[in-house]
Amino acid sequence: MSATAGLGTGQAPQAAAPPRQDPVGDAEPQYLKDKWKMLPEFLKCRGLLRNQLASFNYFLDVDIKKIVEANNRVVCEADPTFFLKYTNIYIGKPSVEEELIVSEITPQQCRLRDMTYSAPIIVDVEYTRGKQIVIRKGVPIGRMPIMLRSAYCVLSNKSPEQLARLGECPMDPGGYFVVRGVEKVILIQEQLSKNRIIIEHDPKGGIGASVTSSTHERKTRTNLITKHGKIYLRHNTLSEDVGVVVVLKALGIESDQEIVQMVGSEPMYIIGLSASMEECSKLAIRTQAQALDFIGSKIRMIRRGFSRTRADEAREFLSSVILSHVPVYMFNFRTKSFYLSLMVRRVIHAMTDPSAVDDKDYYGNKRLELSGQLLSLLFEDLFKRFNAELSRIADATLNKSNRAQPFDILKSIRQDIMSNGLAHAISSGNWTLKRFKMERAGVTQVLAAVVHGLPGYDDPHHEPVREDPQGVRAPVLQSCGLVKNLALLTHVTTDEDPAPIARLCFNLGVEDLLLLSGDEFNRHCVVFLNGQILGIHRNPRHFVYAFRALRRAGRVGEFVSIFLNEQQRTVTIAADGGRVCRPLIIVAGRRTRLRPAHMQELLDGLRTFEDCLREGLVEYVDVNEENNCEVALQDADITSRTTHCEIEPLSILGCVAGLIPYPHHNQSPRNTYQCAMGKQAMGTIASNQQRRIDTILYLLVYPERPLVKTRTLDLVHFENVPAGINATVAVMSYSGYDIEDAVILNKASLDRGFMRCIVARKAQASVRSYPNQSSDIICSPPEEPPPDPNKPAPAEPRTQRYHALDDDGICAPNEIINPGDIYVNKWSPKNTNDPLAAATDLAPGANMLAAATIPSEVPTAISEPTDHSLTRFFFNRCCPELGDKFSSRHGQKGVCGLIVSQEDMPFTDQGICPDMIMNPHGYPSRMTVGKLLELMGGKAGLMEGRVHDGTAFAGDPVGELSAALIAKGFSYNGKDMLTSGITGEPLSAYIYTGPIYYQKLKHMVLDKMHARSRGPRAVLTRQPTEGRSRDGGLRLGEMERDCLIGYGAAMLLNERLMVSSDQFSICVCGKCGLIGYKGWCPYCRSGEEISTIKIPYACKLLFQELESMNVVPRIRLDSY
Amino acid sequence: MTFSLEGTDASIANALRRVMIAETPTVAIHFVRIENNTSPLNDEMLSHRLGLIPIVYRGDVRQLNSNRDCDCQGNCARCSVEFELHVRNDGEDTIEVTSHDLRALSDMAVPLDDETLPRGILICKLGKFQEIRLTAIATKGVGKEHAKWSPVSTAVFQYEPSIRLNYRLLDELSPQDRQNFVGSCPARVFEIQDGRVVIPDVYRCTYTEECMRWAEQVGKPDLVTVKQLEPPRFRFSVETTGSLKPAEIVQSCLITIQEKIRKIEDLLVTKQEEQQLPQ
Amino acid sequence: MNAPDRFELFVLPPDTEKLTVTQDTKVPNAAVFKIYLEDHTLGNIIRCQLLKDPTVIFAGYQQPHPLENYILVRIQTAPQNNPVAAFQHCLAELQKEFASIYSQFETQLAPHGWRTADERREM
Repeated sequence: MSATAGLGTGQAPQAAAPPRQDPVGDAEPQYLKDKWKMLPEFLKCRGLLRNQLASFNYFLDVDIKKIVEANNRVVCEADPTFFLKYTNIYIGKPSVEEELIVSEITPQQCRLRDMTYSAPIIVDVEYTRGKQIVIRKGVPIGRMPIMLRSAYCVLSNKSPEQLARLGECPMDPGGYFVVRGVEKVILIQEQLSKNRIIIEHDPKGGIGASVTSSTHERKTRTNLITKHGKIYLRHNTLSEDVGVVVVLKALGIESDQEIVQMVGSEPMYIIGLSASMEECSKLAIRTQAQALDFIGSKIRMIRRGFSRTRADEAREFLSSVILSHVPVYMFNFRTKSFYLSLMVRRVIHAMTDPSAVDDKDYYGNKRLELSGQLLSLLFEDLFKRFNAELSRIADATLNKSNRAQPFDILKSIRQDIMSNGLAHAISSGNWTLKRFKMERAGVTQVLAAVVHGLPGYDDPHHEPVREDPQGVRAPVLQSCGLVKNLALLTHVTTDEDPAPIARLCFNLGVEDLLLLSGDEFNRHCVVFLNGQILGIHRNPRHFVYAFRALRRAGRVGEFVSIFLNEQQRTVTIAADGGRVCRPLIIVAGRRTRLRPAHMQELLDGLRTFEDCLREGLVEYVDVNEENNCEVALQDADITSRTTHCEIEPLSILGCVAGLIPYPHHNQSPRNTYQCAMGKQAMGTIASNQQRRIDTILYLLVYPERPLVKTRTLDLVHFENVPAGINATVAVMSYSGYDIEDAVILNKASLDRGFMRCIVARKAQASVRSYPNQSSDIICSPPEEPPPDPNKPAPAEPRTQRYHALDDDGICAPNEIINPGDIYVNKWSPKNTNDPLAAATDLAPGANMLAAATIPSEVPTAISEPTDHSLTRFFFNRCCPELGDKFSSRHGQKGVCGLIVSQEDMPFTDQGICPDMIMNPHGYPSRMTVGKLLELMGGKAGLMEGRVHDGTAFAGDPVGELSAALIAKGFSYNGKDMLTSGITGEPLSAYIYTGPIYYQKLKHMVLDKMHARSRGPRAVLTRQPTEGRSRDGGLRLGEMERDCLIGYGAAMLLNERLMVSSDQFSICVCGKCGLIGYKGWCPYCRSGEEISTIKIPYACKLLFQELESMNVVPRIRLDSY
Repeated sequence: MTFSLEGTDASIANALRRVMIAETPTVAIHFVRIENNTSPLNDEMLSHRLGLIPIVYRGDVRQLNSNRDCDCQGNCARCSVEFELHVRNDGEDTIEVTSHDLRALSDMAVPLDDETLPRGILICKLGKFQEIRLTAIATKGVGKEHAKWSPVSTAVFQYEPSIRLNYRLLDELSPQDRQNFVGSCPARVFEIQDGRVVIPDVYRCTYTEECMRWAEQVGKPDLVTVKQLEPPRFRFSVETTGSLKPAEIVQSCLITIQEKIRKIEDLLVTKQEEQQLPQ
Repeated sequence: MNAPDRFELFVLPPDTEKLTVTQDTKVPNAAVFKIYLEDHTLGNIIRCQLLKDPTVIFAGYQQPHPLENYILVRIQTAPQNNPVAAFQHCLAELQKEFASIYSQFETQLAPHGWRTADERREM
């Protein structure tokens, strides 16, 4: 039995047995075909965003109850008999309360009306009112934002028709929240594992071990560090590092021999520990009492009323602060001392063997926090705050004597603590937990609603695959912007109850830690369960094998992983949440357990993915366990060592990278670029796009499904919500307007609707009421004043700005809006405090620079009972123009360099004119061979009337495409003879022509074009304003200035920097050098030597500011 | 329609093609006044779709005034044709609005009605209680301004290839090799009739040069040569959108091109008179 | 939106002449013809026709900018001819050529039952 082969599945006992005869097959191994067909089956049972949804459901089903249970009593100091006890908590139906009427609500209503899609949090309570105990059920304590498509959402388990009736897109996978009308996703956060020993380098280069303990009660961090060869325990509450031997003694291991035995009696460990030992003996600490006293003296005291001895303090510290996740019953520190000595052992080992230092970037050492976990943290904090608030109110009220009525705590429940806390956190993305001193920004993001199939959901991927940009925002470095994406099949686990697993382990021969001596502990394999030491096992391989067998039989949860680490001699069982794992087909006896017959059943719908799991054909393997496996990519690769087989290679890509055809033929950065660009492509957003009112919406007029597709496209319904057009591309150079990746477009194609888009924008105005009973009003547009006979008639009516308004003062549908037009004629009271104040014009000016915008759709929304807000939607139709940005699916972006009329375009013998001409220089350096193949596949598919496949690591081979082209009378290489449209002569080279799926990116010239001659200036400095939105000037920056200086263009500099910017004339007194005014120097009281000079206004401002600080800037004048 | 052109050069052929595409006047919907539109498509998209419907003008398009130059205000019968579209779906099922629903207000023009398109050209689909009511004005224009006025869907010419087979060498080939030779051309230019390689239609050739490559591979580079015919002969293929007959297009394009030349000739003459340019 | 108006392709801008002739000051018997609102269609046939003329030493045309709708035709002739005459001759030849195509086309059409343009006009 070879070491590794046995390791993996622990199949050693049977590995040597001859392969079992297949009931269906013949002697030749039957290869599984079309394994990819499992992907849709998998997604059928789990859905694309199963991770987010499952974690949210778990939070509301289980976690929230646990949190309430852990904090279920509210008491107060004033009245010892008072209590409030939560007996149950549950979530109601998504609803809204308006003017005391509760009505059910759909997400679509929330989007349109700028509301939060939330459901009431309802508790059952038991509490004292006066002398009696009252039981009340169904008390709302706040509102919980509901994740769309979760079990608590109105959209769960609805058919596509029902969804459509609710105004929802059936293809929308959900997984986000609607908070104040904005769709927000909670990004998955990546964290270092909790409750695990991580060996790391400390900043000074030494080796250290750290454990972040996390339980519902406490979160602490314990560090072991090395200093001068000695090992110390470091903790925040310790004023000084304490030698680890001292700590071990304090934990009850008094004998030095036992300490050595526990850490390890090999010479390496004895030497490593000797310095620490020596230090301990120098301190003359020999007994537990001495050690405790020593530690107690180092603890930073937080004096609270009563005093304890130092030893008690230290004992309390050791039991509940240090390694707080290791349970200590009745101050029995045995388990904890084992844990600590194991940490020491690891540190000493890592000092001699640098490879033992853990990799923090390794996904096995990471946990992902999904929205459920993040919300649960937030809820816990808010719930505690809520209870503290109740307790405070109870205190304050009960302290008052002679109350007329018995105090009813329920009347002082304020729902908004919870509701606002949750909604605010999600809408701002700031996760602030005072208790854990946790402050994180950018946890949520607006759902990038550009392309629906690949919205900005971020799901981290668990293998460092180059093609796919990796997962989550790095949490520690603030918003450094690294967004990773989860692979298609990834599953993130949720918590599982460890107690039955522990029982099972003992049954399988794990020896309890408490029964062991230090020597035994180190001689055998240590078994961990969720980071806690369970015990040891004398035959770990057998144990692992048995455990896996039980898991495959369904006796243990499918997501529980077991991992044997031969180097460290540990078995790690993990059942905690946040691990990333993925399904693999199990291989036994050189055969996949999943047989073609099973596949057939799957396809026929007789079998589900879950059945395969249950029958042990497929199993979930997490990142750690993967180290015990030998995974074959294909059936054909299976050897005797193989333990698993990949379901489908394309599953290492996520849904964003999965859209690229033939990605395995591309240079990898190109695929990465495409992943970023795919999100900017315009297309269909969702099937409810006509009814959505987003801040800005980019829609393609005639989107098409791609001619070369990938299997991922089907999984994300991309063909129903496409984002691009199959453009006929000729790869040639044309006219010189196509340098630097620019593309040439065919004018006739544009006329016929190629790449047209609609940009829809939202404009909003609120009508508020003020405390003095006044409120904003909307009045009808002013009437045109009668023409003044003395003045020439103005070119356009003076009320031109108001032309779009209807009689009600709001712009009418189908009006054409020009820049500067008014949308709403709103008047606001000048004084919002004084009840008798005049109103002033506050009509919001149009800030859109787009010329022809036409409002349509007129929903009026009421967000708050008193404040109405008006929403209008503006459409702007854009035909592609010079400078618009296009991109293929291979990270090849380019702007439009020239639009050429059809007759000037080259054409083939069949009369085909390309829609687009692309310069061939884009290819050699980018090496996007996938794009070449896409063209071939598209052309072949076009002629055959089918869609070719370009799936990653699979896809139709070139030979097939060439054969198809030849069969249809084309050259096998995809090139055609083209004739110049200008001269009518044949082009001297054959041109590579065919369809490529092109995307229009949302960067359009229309939104960026900007120029100014004269315009607004900033108030303070009188310099031109900055930025397109303020009609600002174009800055002549420092580097440009340097160029001009170098060139000696003094007059030009003067003109640019002063005359055209903020030139200002001031009067300067030649006598005193101070600034005067109107030819008079107030300092010298004379106007004799005043001269006028021109300086920048900013300079004058500086002088005046200096003067105000009692610094006298004097200007010395010279005549020349 | 196809016709061939010889005795001239590529520039003339290309000029014909270019004028057919870009400068042959037709009639297409240019202005749309929407009175009610509750369809899923928004107004701009609907108007764009209407514009692309080929309109068959019953008179001579060349006689129609250009709306831009017509001395009427707005539009008149001399420069435009009005259409009306009014569809409302009162049933349960989704209905299709097609070019057949577009009703001309004069008998001078109709939207394309072709037996190959029995249901007409789809404009939009209407759900329950959705309605479109609009009037559209079709005017004269040329493809240069907008592709909707371009009367051709393909206007293309092909150079006639000259394929010379060396029958002496060909006879030396085995029947199997001859078959292979015929098979080497993806466009299937060659066929075997009674054991002899024949070319049924030279225009099938797409100049892939596969046959020459094959011949080179078997060591008989002189087996076949493919070149353009010298002097060139062109085969034109003109396929229309339906708004004009192919022959009308060719005629119209020839007239246009002659007018263009004449205009410059006239100008040149006036220039000469003005400036007394040396004769 | 930032494209020039489409009608500029066939509406002569105010204060411009359709045709201007500029004599070359350095080379004898050379002139540049600037023709507004024409493109490769005319430019190319003129060029090709001119090149057939043995007295023409140089003939070429260009469209200097894709957004400006004029072409420049430059002609240089041998001393016995001059550019304007060569240009006139060329246009006349072209006119003849197209007329012949036109008449041949109509004759070819007749057996196919097509009406000629004149017949249609009379309808």
